[in-house]
Amino acid sequence: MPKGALAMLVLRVLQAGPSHGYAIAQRIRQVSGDVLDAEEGSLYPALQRLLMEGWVTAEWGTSETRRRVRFYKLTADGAKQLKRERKDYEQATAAIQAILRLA
Amino acid sequence: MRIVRKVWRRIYYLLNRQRLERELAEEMETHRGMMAAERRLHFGNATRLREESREVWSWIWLVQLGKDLRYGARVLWGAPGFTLGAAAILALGIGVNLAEFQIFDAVVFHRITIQGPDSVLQFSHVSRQGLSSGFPSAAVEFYRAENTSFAWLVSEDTSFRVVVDGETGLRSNFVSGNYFGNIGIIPAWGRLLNSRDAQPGAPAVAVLGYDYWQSRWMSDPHVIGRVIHVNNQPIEIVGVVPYSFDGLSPRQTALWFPAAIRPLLVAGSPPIQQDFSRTTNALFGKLKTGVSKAAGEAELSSLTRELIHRQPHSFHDSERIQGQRLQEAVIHAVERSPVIAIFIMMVLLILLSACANLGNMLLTRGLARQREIDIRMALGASRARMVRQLMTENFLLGILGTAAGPVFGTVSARLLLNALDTPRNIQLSISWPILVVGVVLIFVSTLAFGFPSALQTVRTNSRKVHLRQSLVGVQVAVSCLLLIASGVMAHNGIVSASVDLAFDYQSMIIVDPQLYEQKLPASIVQQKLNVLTTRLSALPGLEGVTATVAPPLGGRLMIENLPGLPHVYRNAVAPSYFSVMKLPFVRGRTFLEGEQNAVIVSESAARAVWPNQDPVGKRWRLAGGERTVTGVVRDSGANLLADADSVEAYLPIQEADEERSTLVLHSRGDPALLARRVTATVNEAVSISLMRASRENLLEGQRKSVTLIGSLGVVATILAAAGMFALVAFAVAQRKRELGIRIAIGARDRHILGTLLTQNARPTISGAVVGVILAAVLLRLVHGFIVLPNGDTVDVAGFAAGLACFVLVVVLATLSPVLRALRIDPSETLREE
Repeated sequence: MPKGALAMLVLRVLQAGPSHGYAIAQRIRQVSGDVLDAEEGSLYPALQRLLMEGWVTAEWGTSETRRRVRFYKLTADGAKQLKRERKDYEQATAAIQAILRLA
Repeated sequence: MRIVRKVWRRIYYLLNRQRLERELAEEMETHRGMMAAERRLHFGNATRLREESREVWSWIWLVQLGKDLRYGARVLWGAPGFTLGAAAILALGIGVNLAEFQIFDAVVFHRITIQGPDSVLQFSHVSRQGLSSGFPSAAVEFYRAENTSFAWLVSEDTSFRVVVDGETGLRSNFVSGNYFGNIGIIPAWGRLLNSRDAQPGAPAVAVLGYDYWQSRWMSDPHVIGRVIHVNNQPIEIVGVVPYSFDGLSPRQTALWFPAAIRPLLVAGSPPIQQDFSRTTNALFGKLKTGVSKAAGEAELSSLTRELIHRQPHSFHDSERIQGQRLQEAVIHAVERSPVIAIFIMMVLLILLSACANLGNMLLTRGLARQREIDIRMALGASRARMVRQLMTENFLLGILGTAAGPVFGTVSARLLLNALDTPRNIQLSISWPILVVGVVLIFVSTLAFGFPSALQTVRTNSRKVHLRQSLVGVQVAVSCLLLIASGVMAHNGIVSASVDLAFDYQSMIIVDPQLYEQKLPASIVQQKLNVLTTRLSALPGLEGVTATVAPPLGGRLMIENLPGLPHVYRNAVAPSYFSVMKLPFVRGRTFLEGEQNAVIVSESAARAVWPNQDPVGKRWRLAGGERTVTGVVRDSGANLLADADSVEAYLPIQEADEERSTLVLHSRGDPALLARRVTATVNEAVSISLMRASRENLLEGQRKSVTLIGSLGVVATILAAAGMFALVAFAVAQRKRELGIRIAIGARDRHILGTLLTQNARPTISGAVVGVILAAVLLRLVHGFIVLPNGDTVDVAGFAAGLACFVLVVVLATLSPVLRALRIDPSETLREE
């Protein structure tokens, strides 16, 4: 699982609304099964990178199970970045599919 | 904006690092707690993940830099000898450059302490005969009265030296009309000269230069109102010029006079409105606002044509006036001077030498630390990481050099300016551009020479030997070149300063009756000269009188360029000239009375035209006629002082030249005493000067350049010595064990010596050869400027002296480490391990 892909997934999850680390991890596991299976904690360096880039912001709050957790929220920059990355990804996929069809 | 926010976030993370780390740990722990018990193992290594997160915050490089700096500082602190040596070399090399920049900056850009110097022009007149910036007083007064383009026009004439109450040789400046008021100078004491002082019948007044006021009058303000005797004329002192002003063409000035009183002080000068004889006034003007430079020049040119109309010989026909901004005029003067060019080149060479020196030291030091570096790389340090570490140390050295360089630079700039005897209004200031240039120089040179050394140090193959040898070669070549150049320059200075004049200049007085002024028929000229000669001959203390058209050291020159020969400096003299001047004959005889087509040549001319032959009786085509050589005299030396590539020829005075005759008097005692008697006896228009004063004027400039270049020679010597010392000392230290073993198994002193001396022999010798060749080429380029004894074309003595100095430096610098090697005690060395 490349690092960039994890970041993209996180941004995609946050597009639905602010969420905390555990919930993000759950959501990613639901959609992509085993992406985070081996090392769920690797979500946190990725989140730090997003914070540093200014694509998400974080705020402490209380979870549905009354635990102190940090909620991450997509910023406008983050939304733009997601759009850009999706476009790149789709272009790349289209190109690969075209090659596969030819072969 | 995004970048700024990003940087700001990083800084925020750096400042709140501990809290953020705690929060991250808490967050991750909560996450783990929320996971189902059987999946908790899948969270991953929390410590490593935190580490990874911290790396995202990315101040890791800064942290590493901090560590590198601390480590570098410890390393440098641990080797104080190396550190101080390297910093000193950097400071020396760069300090000299800074000094040079400061002087250049001061001379060129901060020179003029007047208001709006940018709109002030200095004028010269240009014709097919050449360019001159000297104007006759009459022309200046005419321009001043008639022009409409200028806010003001002023002139200054610094060509006179005056006698004040028995004190001779004081520098004066004759300034026009409202000179000080126009330029906007405020007096230090009293008042300055104004246009009333220039009016006819005004009382004779003078103002004092600040330095002269300080040294001669002990800064006494009561000097104002005092009457002094200048050239035996009573003159009242009315004020003191401020410290910061020394004229528009700066030259230290003791006394300032209104130009109008020149006839009073200089016997025989006509009123300045009619004085076309002395073209020694420098002319300056400030354009009225809205008037272009071209319009100003055009007006002055047309005024000049009008002058030619009134006074046919005042200017050449077709002459036009050309202005130059004051600042530019100085820059041009600097560019023209070969001394400055040589100086700048030597300064850059010194920087190169310092850099090569430093690079070598760094490399040697890298070799000495080989074991440490090998261990660190074996433990997993990457090559890039090691280079970064070494460059950090170089960077620290650079900072040390930066701290020391400007201090050294300022001190040496001040020393140099003092040695040059520069006027007061050249002031040194450390300006921002200079500091920036200095800092950039230091870093560029440290990094440029540190980087290859650092690269080589972490490399494991043997190419470092090549780099080191080429650095040694560069260093040796540059040092050799610098020392030879300083040797030749210093020798040049000594040659021109030593009594190289073959005639007795000490006791000579030049009396110029200025008969050409009066446009008299030849017979009357002859008669007047005879009368004057007879009157002067009667004076007590006089040994002899003779006549010449171009008195030596007087600036009047007649130069003939013949193909394949040095410049022939012609003079026309009376038959008694040689005996009165005490200029000895080598062969032949002087002219006979009335002999016309004869010529007497100098020894150097004889050598150049008829090598290995007796020139007496030979025919020579000179001054438009075929002439017979009647005698050979010694080289007078007067022309050699200024032009190394010159020979001399003497012709009899033709009737047409008679009116330009100047009398030369040989005094038995003090020539100044005789000069006063001459002034008292002769009341016609004459100008009187002492030959020894002319000589001093000539020498002064040369002395300054020699001082400058000599000072660079000292720096070059220090650098060369330090470099050689470091080289050999290192070789000894590095091979101590090997040498110890060899001594233990019976090596003799000469074997040890041989080993040490041959180690760097190749690069040293090839460097020296390159240096000698470069020096020869360089000296070839400037040879016309260098004064040589006996008309030699190559300064073998100076060259040899420089080379000898270089060899001596090498030997002395090598001596102490080599002796240390010979004293190595084998048993002790082997125990050290």
